[in-house]
Amino acid sequence: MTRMPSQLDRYADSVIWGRITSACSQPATEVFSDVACSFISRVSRELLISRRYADWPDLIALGYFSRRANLERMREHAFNSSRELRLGRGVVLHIAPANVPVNFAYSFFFGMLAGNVNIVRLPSRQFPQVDELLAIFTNLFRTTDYLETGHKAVFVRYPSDDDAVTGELSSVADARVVWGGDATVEALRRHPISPRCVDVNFSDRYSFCSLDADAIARLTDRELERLAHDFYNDSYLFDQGACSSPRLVVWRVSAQESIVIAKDRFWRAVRQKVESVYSLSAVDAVDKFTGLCSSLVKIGSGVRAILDTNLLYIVDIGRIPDSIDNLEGRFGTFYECSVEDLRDLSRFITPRFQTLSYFGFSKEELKRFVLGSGVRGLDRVVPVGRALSMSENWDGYDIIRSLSRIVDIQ
Amino acid sequence: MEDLSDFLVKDPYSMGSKEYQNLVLPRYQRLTQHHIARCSEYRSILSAINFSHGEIGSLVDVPFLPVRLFKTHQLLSVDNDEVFKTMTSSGTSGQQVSKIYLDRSTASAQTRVLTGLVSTVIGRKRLPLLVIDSSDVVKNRQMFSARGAGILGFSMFGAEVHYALDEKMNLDIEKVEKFLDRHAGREIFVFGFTSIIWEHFVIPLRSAHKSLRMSNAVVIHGGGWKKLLDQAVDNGSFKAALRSVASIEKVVSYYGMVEQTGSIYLECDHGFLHTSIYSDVVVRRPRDFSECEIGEPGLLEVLSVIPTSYPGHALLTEDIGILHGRDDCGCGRRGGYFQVVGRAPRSEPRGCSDTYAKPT
Repeated sequence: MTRMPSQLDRYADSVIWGRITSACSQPATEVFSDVACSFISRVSRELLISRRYADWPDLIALGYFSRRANLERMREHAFNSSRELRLGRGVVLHIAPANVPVNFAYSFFFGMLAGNVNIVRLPSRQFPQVDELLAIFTNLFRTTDYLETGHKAVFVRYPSDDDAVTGELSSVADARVVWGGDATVEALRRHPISPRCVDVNFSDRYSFCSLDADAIARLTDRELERLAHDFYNDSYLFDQGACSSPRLVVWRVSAQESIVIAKDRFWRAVRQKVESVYSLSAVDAVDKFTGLCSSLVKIGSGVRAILDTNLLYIVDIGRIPDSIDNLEGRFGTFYECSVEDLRDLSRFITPRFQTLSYFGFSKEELKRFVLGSGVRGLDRVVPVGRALSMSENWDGYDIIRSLSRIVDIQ
Repeated sequence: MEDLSDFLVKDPYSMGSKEYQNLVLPRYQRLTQHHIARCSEYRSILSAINFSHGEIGSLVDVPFLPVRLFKTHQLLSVDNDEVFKTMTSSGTSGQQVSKIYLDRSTASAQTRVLTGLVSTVIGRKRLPLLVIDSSDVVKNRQMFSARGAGILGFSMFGAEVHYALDEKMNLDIEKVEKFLDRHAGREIFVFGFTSIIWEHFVIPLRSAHKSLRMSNAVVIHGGGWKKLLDQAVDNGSFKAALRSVASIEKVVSYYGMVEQTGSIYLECDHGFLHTSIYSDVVVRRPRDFSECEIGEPGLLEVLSVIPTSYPGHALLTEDIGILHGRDDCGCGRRGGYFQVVGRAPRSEPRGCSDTYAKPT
């Protein structure tokens, strides 16, 4: 690299550009290299053993994700059918979302496991989790085992609207991983990239949950409590703002008696959970109410909203909506409707649909539904409780495969 | 809807709770019914929450809309051709603004109510008026900004109206002194927005080491403390500053918003904002919008008997307030007395699709 990038100087030490330049000249490695796996599992140990991180559920979740056993599982999975030779593409630019603190680390790990040099744009907002993670990384990079690993990773922070910097970084990338939705994808598309550069884009998505009324009517109180806990985690952990958090609940109903019981039991359990752990700031309560009113105006007549507490809004819209555009919801706003058969859903599933979280369905029937209906959306079908669990398969991509290339040696 | 004649003959602060409830409750019930019948958006919301008319047993039961809904939706309860002016909230460029649609009768009710309230401070006769603003703000009369509407609304009380600031918002000290000389010894009325009085009147006078003799002035000001609280200026230091730069003794602030123009809440000598027979507040808990106890801070809902052309008779704001009591303020006025302690702090959204998101 002969070009002298200069735009970052205004925000960070010019040393950073030197580091980027030298990182870009580092070689790619094979996927799941020993050193990458060992580095990531060292981070995992740090997160899970030290009590320091116990108060951050997102750091603990990252710790679980990155433990040795899970890396082994991913490696097995990656090499399951073939022993093809795969190497990193080279330099990966990661654009982390502004408001999910820990996401940048997952993206970085995927880039590393795929065998790349990684330039990671951190969230522009300050989060303690980001600082904690950077401290762990930096300490490891100082040890002789990971000196080289450290040379292949650069973390930058600059205002996201600084197109000059984004342009420079895009020009050196062999792959870009763009989180943050449609607007960010659009913004990154304006920057020229090399002809071989591959983009992995995470656009705005919509997710829903499907529950079998009979199954829920039959649950013991204990099982129901567990389900409510899982549903809570899927929905409330990011104030329902994560693209995989459900906003619509579709009930599968075979008998009218069970749906009344099921709804009553389910929402009562969710409400109990929410009231015991969730808090809503004054401004969020107003935002939530405003969003609800706005949706009610757009939907028009024929709906019934239950607003006993501001912590949980339930809006019964009766049948499947024509489109999801009217169904705004944050901070625990759920729209619900009923179907007799999953197949009734297929006409309304657009490419914007990402995750279906389910309870009371068999994997087999879900597989039949997806294959049989040929829907153009829906990339993840997971049990309730796993909507937010990060995986190397996300939004329909196998991220590690996308960030590596096959070398065909015959 | 019937007009407000019943209300306008009465002293706005004279009525005790019981008499007051008997007067206003039917009005709020009819307003609710009127907007259900005339505004389909309002009807959609109320039907979804299964609202039934018999439920309004007190003002707390009047269904309310979030005030911000007027930024995203056109809400009106009259036909489009009856709209006689549209008022907008002041917002910095790029921000969404509220649009409030007025027909002639709502606009006239606003004027009459404002007159009834302001006359309790400055009397019924018109006084020479000094507006601490630039006349440029009121140039476009078709689209009223909140600031322009406020100035025009208060201009009614002026026998003659003078603007203290030039088109560049600089204080024209010479012009102000001439105005003061002409009216020396007589009562004068000064109106302006709180932050503008501070930035364009107090601060320039201070830095010019200039003091004006305005002990004959009554100042009414309002329009948000947020900007000043950022600079650590509270009501007390605001008053002290006006006393020191212009010997002004009588300073009255008010709380109000473009979504309920006219029925403003005036401050009393004890420093509290007062409800009148035209307006009321309900303080609500964020958790379930239940009513707060006296003294307990919560979200302020504002009620006004005026709005008939748009469904704005009960609006939930983002302001945090404390109701200190009813009918027993030391100043002698009946009705509720409260404080606005600030705006609920806005948190950053959490979620995925946000890297480029800008607050609206």
